[in-house]
Amino acid sequence: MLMVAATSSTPLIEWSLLGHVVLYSLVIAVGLVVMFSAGLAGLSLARANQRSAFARFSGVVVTALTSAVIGASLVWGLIVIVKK
Amino acid sequence: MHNSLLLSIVIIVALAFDFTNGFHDTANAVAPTIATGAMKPRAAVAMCSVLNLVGAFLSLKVAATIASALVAQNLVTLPVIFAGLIGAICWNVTTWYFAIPSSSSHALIGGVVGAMLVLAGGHAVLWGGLVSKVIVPAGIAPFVALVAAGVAVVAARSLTSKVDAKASGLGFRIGQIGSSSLLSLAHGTNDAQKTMGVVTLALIANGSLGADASTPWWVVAVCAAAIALGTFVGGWRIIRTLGKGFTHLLPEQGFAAQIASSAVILTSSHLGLPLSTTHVATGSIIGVGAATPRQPVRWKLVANVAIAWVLTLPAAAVAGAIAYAVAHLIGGTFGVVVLAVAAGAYLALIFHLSRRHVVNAVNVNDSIGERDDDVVDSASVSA
Repeated sequence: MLMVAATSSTPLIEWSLLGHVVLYSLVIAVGLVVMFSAGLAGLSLARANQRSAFARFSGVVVTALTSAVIGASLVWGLIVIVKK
Repeated sequence: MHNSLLLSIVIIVALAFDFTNGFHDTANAVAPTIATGAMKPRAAVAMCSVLNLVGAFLSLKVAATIASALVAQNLVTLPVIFAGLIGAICWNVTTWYFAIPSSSSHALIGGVVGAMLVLAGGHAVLWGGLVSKVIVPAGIAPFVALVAAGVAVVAARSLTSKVDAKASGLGFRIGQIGSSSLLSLAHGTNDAQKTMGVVTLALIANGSLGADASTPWWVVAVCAAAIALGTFVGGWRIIRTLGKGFTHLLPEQGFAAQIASSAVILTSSHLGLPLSTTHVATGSIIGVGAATPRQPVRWKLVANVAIAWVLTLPAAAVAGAIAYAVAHLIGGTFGVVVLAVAAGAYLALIFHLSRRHVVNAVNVNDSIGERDDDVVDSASVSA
């Protein structure tokens, strides 16, 4: 929804706010996709039988870490939705 | 002040707008999910509908309504709200017929502003707010989403280049279901609230509620039901344009587009500058297409959609202005009734025309131009 609340004290274009929106949106969007993709790569590594035990362990760790970050992001998303 | 018949008509029209908002915006959340085969079309739309319903109940804080924040609130009357809604519905249904994704929020804003201009002239509109919170965000939204989704899909491709294609495809499809769910929930919270605000404003304008009254529970319930029903009907034409029209989406592209859309919408909303879901979702899909080598983007269709976005505010404003002027000319509740009947006839005509080239759950994944009777090709969109 586009909620509009113009007051005389606010500038016509809030460049700082726009900059924050652009920067944070980019970082979060790219970060989440990188995390998910790294998780997929980690999962693939963990399930590859021909790999060494260390490689498989690394895969499990990467998958667990990225899953935790993505889970936390989902919770953050739900909080943003509910708090609006 | 009390006019039960007029109030009833306004509420019915508001719910009709909510319904069109639902089916117009279904595509934003589910088009990539359907296009990549992550979910069956009917299942995706049903899930989206349920989450829109849930989302509508999640946040009941109607902080500000479009009408009260964009125009002088003391001048708002039931006929103004009615005319604004009629303008928005006409634009929504027309763009649906031409399979163009366009912003329902902008259509509503345009409709209300147009009606207010006829009622009270330019001084009744807060032009600064219109520029800073509507026009500027509308300009940046698709570009932010386009860049975010483009960079994201390049990263996704390089990180999973050594992963088995079948496994990564399955992973990205599962991820799409999650991101699609989040988008649906956010949409229900945002857009159902918009209609709740309009109905509450109508009740206040009619004297049925005090100026500081909160939204009655029945308003929440009927608005939630209307948007969920609209979503469930599924705006298949627009789903097809977003999912198949701009580019051929692969699972990693669909995932990157939807994650980018979710991130941009939720982040901008959190920072206090909510962006149009439609503009963001469309920008994301174009972004993943543009960032993928040997994956052509239909730029002619992109241009047509961009033109429609530019036209949304003024076109809905003209429709709202005409609606208000005609209702005012005829006069009283009778004028509103006549206009409601005329709008109903227009909707019936559009629906009748749409039956000539049906797009539904069966053919929603046909490539654009694959069938001779395609209505959603770029040529017809430009018609």
